[in-house]
Amino acid sequence: MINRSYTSYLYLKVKCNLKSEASKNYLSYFWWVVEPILMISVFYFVFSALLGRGEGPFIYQLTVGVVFWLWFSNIVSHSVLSILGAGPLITQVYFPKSILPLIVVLVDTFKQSIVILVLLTFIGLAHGVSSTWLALPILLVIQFIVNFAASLIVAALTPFIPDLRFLVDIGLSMMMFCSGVFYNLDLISEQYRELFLLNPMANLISQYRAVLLQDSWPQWSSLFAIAVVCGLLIFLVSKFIKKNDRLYPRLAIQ
Amino acid sequence: MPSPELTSPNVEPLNICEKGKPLLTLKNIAVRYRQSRNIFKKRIYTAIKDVSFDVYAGESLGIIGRNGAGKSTLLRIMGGVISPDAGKFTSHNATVALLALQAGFDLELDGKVNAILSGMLLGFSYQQVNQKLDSIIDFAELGEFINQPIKTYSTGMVTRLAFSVAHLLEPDVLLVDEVLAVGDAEFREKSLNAMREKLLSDQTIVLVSHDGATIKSLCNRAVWIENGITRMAGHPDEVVDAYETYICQYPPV
Repeated sequence: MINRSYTSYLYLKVKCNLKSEASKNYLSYFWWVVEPILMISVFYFVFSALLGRGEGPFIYQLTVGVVFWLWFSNIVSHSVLSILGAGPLITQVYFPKSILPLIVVLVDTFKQSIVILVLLTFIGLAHGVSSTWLALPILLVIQFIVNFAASLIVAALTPFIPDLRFLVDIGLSMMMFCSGVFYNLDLISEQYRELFLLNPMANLISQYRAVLLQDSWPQWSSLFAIAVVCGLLIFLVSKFIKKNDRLYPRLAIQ
Repeated sequence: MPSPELTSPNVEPLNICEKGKPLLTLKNIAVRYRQSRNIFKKRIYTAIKDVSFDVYAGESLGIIGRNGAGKSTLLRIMGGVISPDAGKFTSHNATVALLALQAGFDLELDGKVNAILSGMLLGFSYQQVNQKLDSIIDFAELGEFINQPIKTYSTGMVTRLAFSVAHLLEPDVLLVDEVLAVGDAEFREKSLNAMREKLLSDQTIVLVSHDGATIKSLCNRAVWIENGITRMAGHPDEVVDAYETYICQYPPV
């Protein structure tokens, strides 16, 4: 998809973006962990203290949901303007535009991997580790594929329809409520469960919970389906971006 | 005084610079932009209607035309940044780079890293840029500042760094968009000299400007673009004189 000579640029750029982002704040790298902790605390406060739903394993389910959801939603919302917003750059030099969303995916994945490590330590210490944790790397790889596909799609389409950036924000909040970030699969009535699990993020989040908290192995068939569909999307959308590589600069200045 | 007619376009490109073979060929190029995104009214703006010329190896070609004549769009075509709506642009295996000031600069990062990233975006490998890094830093006269984030630089310093990166890399064809007047007076002189050196060497340059004097002093062939079409091509003195006569007769609206 991307020429080999651009991979070294990509590597350096991701490294520099991480450094550059961190250097803007006093607490720099620390924020990458503090932000999700704050977000989890807010949810926990609302759901356990205010709504009285804090019993049992709720806090673990919540943290798992929030952490993996944030990985997805951060990438999607940061990718929306990755091509359109790069106007000053892409009107000056040619390079394959798929690099731009890919930078976002890699930067956010790196940041989120630190959070995931914190999460795993927290659950491991407080809840315990089981052998099903071995399936975690596969889940992570599949979510990476999902994230990448979503990132490419929004990045590729916004230059054509700039109004999408508002829709993506709304879409993400809607999707968050439909992905079971704050609730478990068993709250959904039996007849809607299959429909609910068609949403790849809802599916992944419930599988993460199964693997990390309920000592059960993932449902391989649905994971496989997600990987195939999203892999295909990545292939198609990168072709689309490549086809429009020299059109995007014009869309950016129109 | 001969008064050029608006309807007498497309003079066959005059090849004064016989020494080289064509590196870039533009044939009947047209570029149209959509002016507004309003879905109820579609307004098309034609930046370039019909432009043809070649860029020959070793020459320094000046493209002259008033503001809005489509010069920057032409540079984007030649740099391979956009593709034309009609016509054919061919690059005969030449590496082309726009002397793009501050391409991909990140204010939070230091000058060195920015120079490398910018150079890589302009199409060079990490090693190639790294080899030239010392001379880039030297030329930009940044001293200790090179290790500081460029947000601490003055505007002049940023421009100096940007010019140095773009200038020290040597593509087959260098595209320049009236950026010669960069930085303070002293650096401007230095960058002009650097450009003149390039012109005397084998470097192929395409310089875009609306200023006749610049073209006359720096180029050995000129193409005049008016209203999106090639009006004239030939020796800079003749082309610039015709252009200036025309400008006086038909001042910009």
